[in-house]
Amino acid sequence: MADPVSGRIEALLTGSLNIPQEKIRPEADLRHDLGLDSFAAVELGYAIEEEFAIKVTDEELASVKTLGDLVAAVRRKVQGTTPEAAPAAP
Amino acid sequence: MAKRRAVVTGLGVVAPNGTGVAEFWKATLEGRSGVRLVTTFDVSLFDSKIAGTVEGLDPLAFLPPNVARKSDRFVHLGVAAASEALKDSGLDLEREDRTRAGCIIGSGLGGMLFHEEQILAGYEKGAHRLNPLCVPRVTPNAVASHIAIQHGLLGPNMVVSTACASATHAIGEAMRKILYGDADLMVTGGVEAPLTQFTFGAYAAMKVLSKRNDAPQKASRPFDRDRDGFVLAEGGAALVLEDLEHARRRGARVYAELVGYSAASGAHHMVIPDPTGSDAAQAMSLALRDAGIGPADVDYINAHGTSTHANDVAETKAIKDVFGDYARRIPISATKSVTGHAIGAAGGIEAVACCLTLDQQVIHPTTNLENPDPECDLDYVPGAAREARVNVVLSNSFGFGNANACLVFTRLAL
Repeated sequence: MADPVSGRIEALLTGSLNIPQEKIRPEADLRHDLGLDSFAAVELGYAIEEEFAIKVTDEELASVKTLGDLVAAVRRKVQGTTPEAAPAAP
Repeated sequence: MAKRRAVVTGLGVVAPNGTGVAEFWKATLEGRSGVRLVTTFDVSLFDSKIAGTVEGLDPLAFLPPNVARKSDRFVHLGVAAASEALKDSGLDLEREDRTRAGCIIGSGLGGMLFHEEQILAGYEKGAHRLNPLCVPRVTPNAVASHIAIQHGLLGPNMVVSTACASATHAIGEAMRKILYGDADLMVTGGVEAPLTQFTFGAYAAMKVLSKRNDAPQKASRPFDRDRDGFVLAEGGAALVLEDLEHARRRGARVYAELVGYSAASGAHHMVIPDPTGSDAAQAMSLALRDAGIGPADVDYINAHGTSTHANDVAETKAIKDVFGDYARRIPISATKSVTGHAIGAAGGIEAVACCLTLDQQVIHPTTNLENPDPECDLDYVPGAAREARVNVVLSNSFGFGNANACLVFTRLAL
């Protein structure tokens, strides 16, 4: 089963940030492989806050290096803070 | 060294009555209006429910998808017009010194649509939750920046904001950049996208908008006794201005030479023009002086002609003041009769009309002028377009706050 958090972040990257699908891999470096400049990172942080109804601090955003790190960090937040935004249990 | 001269070598327009220069000009000559009932937002509570709307504009035709999605409609309109003008100019920017190519655009308002959306979102979610694109989407200079980014223009880049005269000031300032040697090529013109609920409401609150909702195409009727206000419109227009020697070296087609520009204030009122027309007369006289052309040599005036009593009467008085007895013999027409009033884009759309008038030797009519206002008793070219020998054209723009500007275009004297 596809990971809903990962899928939703991928959709933000390919959608509002226009990152080509073929570049999307867990080990992809956000800055060097996906080409996110500092403003694109701010846009991504805002998009994640809106999508998951969570708060992403500047420090959290700066500490994330790869897409996999980002997905893991968001998953932790979603599970820890806002159960209603987490994937529905079967 | 020969005096530098600025010529128009490319035109682009996105107007309510036509997207693209050819469609716009045909509609304008034939008197077809682009004023319609507004359907993009709720106008049920407004007395005025009509506007000059640009239909079917596809931003993806000239912007990458991510840029199109993240920019406001006023940017789409401006980039569309600039792209057409640059294509029309035949310039190969790959072969140009891009540090000598700039962009000055007029916009009275900037990105109002996103601004309004974000203010509403801010009230709902808190101002600490605004979209990071808010500043880059809303700022008025976004349009000149996006045009520069799309076409790699490294020269002077700015937006001029003087309400209804924005584009005219922008074109004049762009001319000065060329004459002063700051640039060889300038993309210039104006843009406005005011058809949003709050911006429309703001104009409606001033009680200046036409309520002729049952006959939208008849609503903008400059100099007509039965007018009842102006029609708000959106649009974009662009001219490529070029140093004459530069244009000659590459064998460019020249539509017209821009020979005069004035910028003056009536220092009178934020909304109302001086009823004597003295400020408008001053602006016209200064532009003619800048051009070194006497009033008797002007063959056509493209009027500001908003379809308000205050403007139309004051502008008529001003023309009589400047031109004396000759005023009655000059054909005058108002492009806003078919476009509505596109605020910061208006002077740009009208500059395009002036260049086409010189190029094609035909004057477009003032459409909907059926019963002339007794106080407006000049030749406003009612009814049909008129073929005429036109060598010198004066274009008027009088902005809210008495920000006035005029341009003088001529056929290129060889």
